[in-house]
Amino acid sequence: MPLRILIIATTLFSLFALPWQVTVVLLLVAALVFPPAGILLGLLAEIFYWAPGFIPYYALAGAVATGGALLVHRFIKTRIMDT
Amino acid sequence: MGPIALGGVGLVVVFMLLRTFVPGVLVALGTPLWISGNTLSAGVGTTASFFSDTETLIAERDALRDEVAALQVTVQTTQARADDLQRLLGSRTEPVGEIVAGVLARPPVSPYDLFVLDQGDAAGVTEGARVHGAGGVPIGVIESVSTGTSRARLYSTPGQETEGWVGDERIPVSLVGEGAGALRAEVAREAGVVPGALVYVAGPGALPLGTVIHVENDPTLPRSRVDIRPLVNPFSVTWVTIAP
Repeated sequence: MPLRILIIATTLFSLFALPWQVTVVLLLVAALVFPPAGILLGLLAEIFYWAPGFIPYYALAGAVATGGALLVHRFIKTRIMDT
Repeated sequence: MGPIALGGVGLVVVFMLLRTFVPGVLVALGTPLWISGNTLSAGVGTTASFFSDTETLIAERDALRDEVAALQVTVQTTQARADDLQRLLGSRTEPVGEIVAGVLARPPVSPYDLFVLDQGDAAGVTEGARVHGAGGVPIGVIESVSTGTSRARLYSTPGQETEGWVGDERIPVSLVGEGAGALRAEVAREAGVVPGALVYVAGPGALPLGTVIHVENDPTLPRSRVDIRPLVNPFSVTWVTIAP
């Protein structure tokens, strides 16, 4: 649990301090440990940076990360139930 | 979806409503975080050099114990700020009607090649105003404005087209943003554009924006691709002026 919070807090901080490429990687990691974090942090980033005319890359990356993480979690759960 | 996620979704919805109806509030919330981020980024370099030399480390430790050293740091900070502004504005003292703004977020922290600036509507910033870097070099245009902040779209924003000129003959070109400060253009192969030629955009007259670094001449094509590097590196801009 503390690790999960640490990763999400680091991603949140990186929105304001680290290059966006690093933030995207952290966003993917955050989504793996807590799937809704991907889309939530992506939307939060858009709130601060998006301007009319741009494709909302952060929100899209967040949505993809959340979707992927949910699939991974479901797959792991299924494997655990099988074994 | 658990209660934490639902709470998060609620929070984001509230933030989006705030962004739509009172955008200044959110940027005001983010400002301290951007400032800490900028300070931390600048501090990383200082810390790296700090640990590289033991003698410096000892000297710095002693200095930090001394209150005078703390005051010196304050003076240095103020001096650096003054130097930045001096570089930006030159030595002119006459009022020019431009607004000086600090850069809260810049590439690569901000995606989309845009600046978040700490001056907005209240200071007289308007949409479409030109943004200049040190020496009056044009770097972008104000995209959106709120009460205390504004967002500037750089000329190098990917896909952004700006009309300009290249070379001493002022050959008209369409400059296309490539991201991270870079631009490109296409000119007729016979135009004779060479690396090192200045690229201009419209301002009061023609203002130099960047220099040609590479001209790709393909004999099978009638036009040459021109790569342009900006005169001002957007990654290191801390202050800008906004011309209404």
